[in-house]
Amino acid sequence: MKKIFQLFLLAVIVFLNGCMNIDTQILDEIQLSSATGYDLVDEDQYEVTVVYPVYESGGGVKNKTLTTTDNLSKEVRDKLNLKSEKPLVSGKLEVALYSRELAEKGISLILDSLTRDPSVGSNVMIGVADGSTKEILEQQYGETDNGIFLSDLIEQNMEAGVIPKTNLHLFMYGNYAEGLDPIAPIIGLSEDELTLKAIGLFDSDRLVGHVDEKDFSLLRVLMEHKSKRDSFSLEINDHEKVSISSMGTTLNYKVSNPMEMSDITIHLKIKAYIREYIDGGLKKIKKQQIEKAFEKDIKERGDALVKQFQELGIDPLGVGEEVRTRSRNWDVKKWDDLYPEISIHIVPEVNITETGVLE
Amino acid sequence: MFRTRKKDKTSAENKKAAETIQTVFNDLSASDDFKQSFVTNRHVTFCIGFYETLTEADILHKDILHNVQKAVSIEELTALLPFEDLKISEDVTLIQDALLQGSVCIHNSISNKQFCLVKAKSAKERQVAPPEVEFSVVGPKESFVESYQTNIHLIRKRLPISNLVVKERTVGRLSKTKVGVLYIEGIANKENYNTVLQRIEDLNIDQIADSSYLTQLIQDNQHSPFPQFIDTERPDRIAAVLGEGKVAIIVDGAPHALIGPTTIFEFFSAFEDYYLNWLVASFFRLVRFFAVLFSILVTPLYVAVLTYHYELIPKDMVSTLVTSRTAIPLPPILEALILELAIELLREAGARLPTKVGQTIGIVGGIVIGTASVEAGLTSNVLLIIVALAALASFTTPVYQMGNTIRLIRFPFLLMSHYIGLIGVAISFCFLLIHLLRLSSLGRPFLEPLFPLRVFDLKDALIRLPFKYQSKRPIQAQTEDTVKFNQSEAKHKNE
Amino acid sequence: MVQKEEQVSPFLVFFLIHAIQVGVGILGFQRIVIKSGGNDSWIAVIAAAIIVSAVIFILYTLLNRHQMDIIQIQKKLFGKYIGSLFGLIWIMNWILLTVTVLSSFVEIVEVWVFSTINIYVFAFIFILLTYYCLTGGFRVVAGICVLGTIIPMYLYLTFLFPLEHTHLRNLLPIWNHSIKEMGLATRDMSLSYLGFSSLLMYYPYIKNAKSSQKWAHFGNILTCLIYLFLMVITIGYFSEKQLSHHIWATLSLWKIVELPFVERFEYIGITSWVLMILPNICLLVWAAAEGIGKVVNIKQKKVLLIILLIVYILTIFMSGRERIDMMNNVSAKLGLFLLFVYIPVLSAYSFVWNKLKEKKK
Repeated sequence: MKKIFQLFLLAVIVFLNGCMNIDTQILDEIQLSSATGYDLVDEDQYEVTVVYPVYESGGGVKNKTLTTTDNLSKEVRDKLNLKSEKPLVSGKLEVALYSRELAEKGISLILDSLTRDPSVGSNVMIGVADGSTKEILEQQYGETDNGIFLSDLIEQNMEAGVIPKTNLHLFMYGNYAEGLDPIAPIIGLSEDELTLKAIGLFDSDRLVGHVDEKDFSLLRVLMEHKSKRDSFSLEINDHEKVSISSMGTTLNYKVSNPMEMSDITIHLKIKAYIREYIDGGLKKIKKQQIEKAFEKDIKERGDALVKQFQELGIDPLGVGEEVRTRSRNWDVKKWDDLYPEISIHIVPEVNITETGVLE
Repeated sequence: MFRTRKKDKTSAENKKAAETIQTVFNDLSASDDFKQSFVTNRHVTFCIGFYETLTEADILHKDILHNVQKAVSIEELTALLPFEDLKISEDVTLIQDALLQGSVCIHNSISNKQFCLVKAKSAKERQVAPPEVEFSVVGPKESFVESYQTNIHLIRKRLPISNLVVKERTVGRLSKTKVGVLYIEGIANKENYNTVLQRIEDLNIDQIADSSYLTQLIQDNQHSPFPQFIDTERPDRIAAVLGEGKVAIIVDGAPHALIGPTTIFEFFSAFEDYYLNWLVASFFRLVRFFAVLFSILVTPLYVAVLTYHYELIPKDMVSTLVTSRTAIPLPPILEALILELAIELLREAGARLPTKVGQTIGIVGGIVIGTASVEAGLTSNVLLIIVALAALASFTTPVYQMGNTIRLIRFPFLLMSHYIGLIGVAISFCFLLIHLLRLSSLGRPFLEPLFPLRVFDLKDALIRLPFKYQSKRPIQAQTEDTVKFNQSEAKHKNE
Repeated sequence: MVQKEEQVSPFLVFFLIHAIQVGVGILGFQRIVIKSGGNDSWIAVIAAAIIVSAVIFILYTLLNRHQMDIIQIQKKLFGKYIGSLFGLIWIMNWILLTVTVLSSFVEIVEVWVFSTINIYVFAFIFILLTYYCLTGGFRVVAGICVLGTIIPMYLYLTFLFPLEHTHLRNLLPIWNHSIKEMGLATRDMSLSYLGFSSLLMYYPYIKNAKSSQKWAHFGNILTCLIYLFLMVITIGYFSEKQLSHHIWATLSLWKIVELPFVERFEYIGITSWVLMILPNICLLVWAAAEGIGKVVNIKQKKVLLIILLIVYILTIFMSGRERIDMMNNVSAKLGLFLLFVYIPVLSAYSFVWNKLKEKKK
């Protein structure tokens, strides 16, 4: 009797399993969108472009794009599905691009569709397109999937120490944090080649400014407390050019009176080796002289950068966070008033330890 | 059959007084291989009865007939015959049983109702050969054969101690199979061997063809796919586990002996593990455990991920998987089932056919069917690799019976992975764990030392520590004497 | 009383306590605590653990004094009828906790994995699993607690991946919240430790139960360490406002994990969590069934079926964020009251009662 009951239960499971009612998402029967781009059409109409790879049997990849306009991102997906032979899914999204105009208006509303969707990962790259995202996404870059190409482009540069770390999670972190503002790379086409043009500076979710290529690594060492492989180069004088690469940098904030109108000093220590040294005659490297020159250069550029941030009223370096963690009477409003006026200095200390295989 | 025999017994008892040679041999002479012959010497006539198919002609001619010609009476005959185990009896059933075991019965009509029984069993048995199922490169190359005597001989040879006890029972109304329960007195727990003996005595069955019958009949949970006794063909393994305080069962006519109580981990330890360096052995054991998990889980995971969880696939692997599947019209579950079944068919065909043909089938079938199904677009080549690896992994299990179990339990996993994706796999895994937790072997927990957690027994479960640390017997067997050897003394000697 | 074969070793209490404390709560406890505790929430984690340890201490003094389970103690102290009535409250508490655990997990599966899943069938499968486990007796329940703790341990390693994006300076400045805020945070945190009240039922099933007290504390400490680890990583990984949007912060943490062979670890996490919540459900239902068995004399199997049916119906009924939240609230309040108010009072009463009895003698 007991056995019959157990068998009966087993039969019930098998039967009921049949009506589990789950939608299947079989890998080859879905369209994996790998990148999306948002362009502004007018006031609150977006044009959304979605790229998905079509794998050919020979091993090649063709990128297809779908475009539609609407004012809600998810509704857009329904609209896009009208044009697609297989359901579009966003679980393998690698890159989300926003046009400059849109980014300047603020993107937090559109970002909601990414953060709310459990199938979208945290490692999605957020980027700003210089020009129309549609144009960028419709291009075919080599033999790969456009989404993977774009994310690899950004990721590779992040890992090589060219630009600061960024992804969806870090963007949202900065977006919500009280004493920190997010950044995102600006990508653009120049002569059909995709390039990382600048780093966009956001005030919460609005693009307000950018940092050019020459200050990339400086921004990086100032944003990240510990970083590696950042490179700096300098023309000491007409015939002397030096390029160094960091083996490790450390950042130290000195805040004497947090939440008050007192100076903030940022001590930046760079341990570096010489990558390249071009001089007129083959002179012996004067380490100290080079160190001094770099320190001067970094200080000048750094102070200028900070000035720019303060004028824009943004804080990508997270000075606010540093103050917050040092004070017991943190108040965002008060800080926001204080920040543009407060004087922030950068005190770099370059230490060249190696000179490569040559001396 | 049983009834008629019983009747015979009672009738024989009734007519005890009137017993003649006829009453004894009457029933038997129905079969043509039962021979009766009369030898007359100068004094008396002896009647000799025997099964010619069961007795050794050599013994009969040289020893028995030779002496029968000289004897005057049964008493004198017993003195003359050069056998140590002579019986004189007048019990009809005993005589008949003895005849069926290959004895020769000698009777003389003059000297009352005494029947002399002489053992002249012909020993038709296989030579002791190297183990085939549990082959090992290092270590002894002996394996059990179908003879009870030889098998016990092989064990006793390795444990020449008086404490090694063999308890014999006969099972099967038709087969009358001799079953021996072996244990070492003073080490093995009484409860363990008494349970085995009790269960054997309680059996009510007509035939026992092999020890595997016994496994199925006396294990704790007969509906579980997991065997709860290890069967082994290696006498060295039996000797070792007897020393650990476990109980071994030898069945006459079976080339495999059984071991109990056992744990699931023992099924994945090959005995060769003890012949190799402990690091190597531990590594091999871990590989085997990994193989089991791999074999059970990998195809279900493939089905689950491809059916429901595309997000899990790393971005660089997506293209490989999609390209391999684009031309395939079947959903992943059918694809996987087809391949799994194909592998099962190959295995089954290989097992049923003679060895040489079987090998050919395996290779030809594997290559031809595999390549063809990929080219025909029925299965993806990625899955083909996965299924083949999973099959390969399932063959690494040293105990054949457990290997079969593992091949079986993949299918529920596969179905569940199709129904509820990864969560289905997890749920099946939970069912499996609970099932294993509920299992016991001779009343001892089957999942030990994982549960009940006995850190000490982990010395010889997932890994095998050096012998120095194996100084105590496993707690699971609840031995009476827990110490194998004195660890500190052993250390001392080393120094 | 309890057969010797059914009893388990005292050190298993370590797993019994730990396994039941870590359930679905761990997937999303951070948001609630940080609401009032902010960056000091990790202190609340420790504070709650200390309070829980104190309660465990009280539980043990009570149980050691009487050497029987809570239902019998109450019957002894308050008489048959009132004692049984109080017993029913405990049973209700455990059933409610079970339903909370199960329906929260079903919700997670609905939101994160299969939005259209048929919860009738899904919950039923869990009920079947529980039934299969419970018919094996307390040993099997204890076994699933051990395995449910050991096997998913590897998951904690994966939390090292988010460390790359963690700003540990967020922990500073230490202690910038008022005592009141910390009190609230501690209260919210202690909800994640609930469930260990089942100790009141399985106490007689432990060999040398008195000696198991230290294991109970160790189990609690392990839970505390795990919560602490997660809390510190969460505080560093999210900014405070960002976290307030994440209902299941632990799962959101996993979203960043990328391994060469697998991405998006939250799916694997949810999958492995089946094995983590099974001990919860099994132990709680076991406690409830055992309790009813002690209150009224019905066959254990029938009780089990009835309880599972109740759990099933409630789970089906309690779907949707709001209802689950409401249920969380009710079961949390009841649990908190029983453990932190009722138990100390009961313990004191039993002490006095015992003293009076001694005097009479």
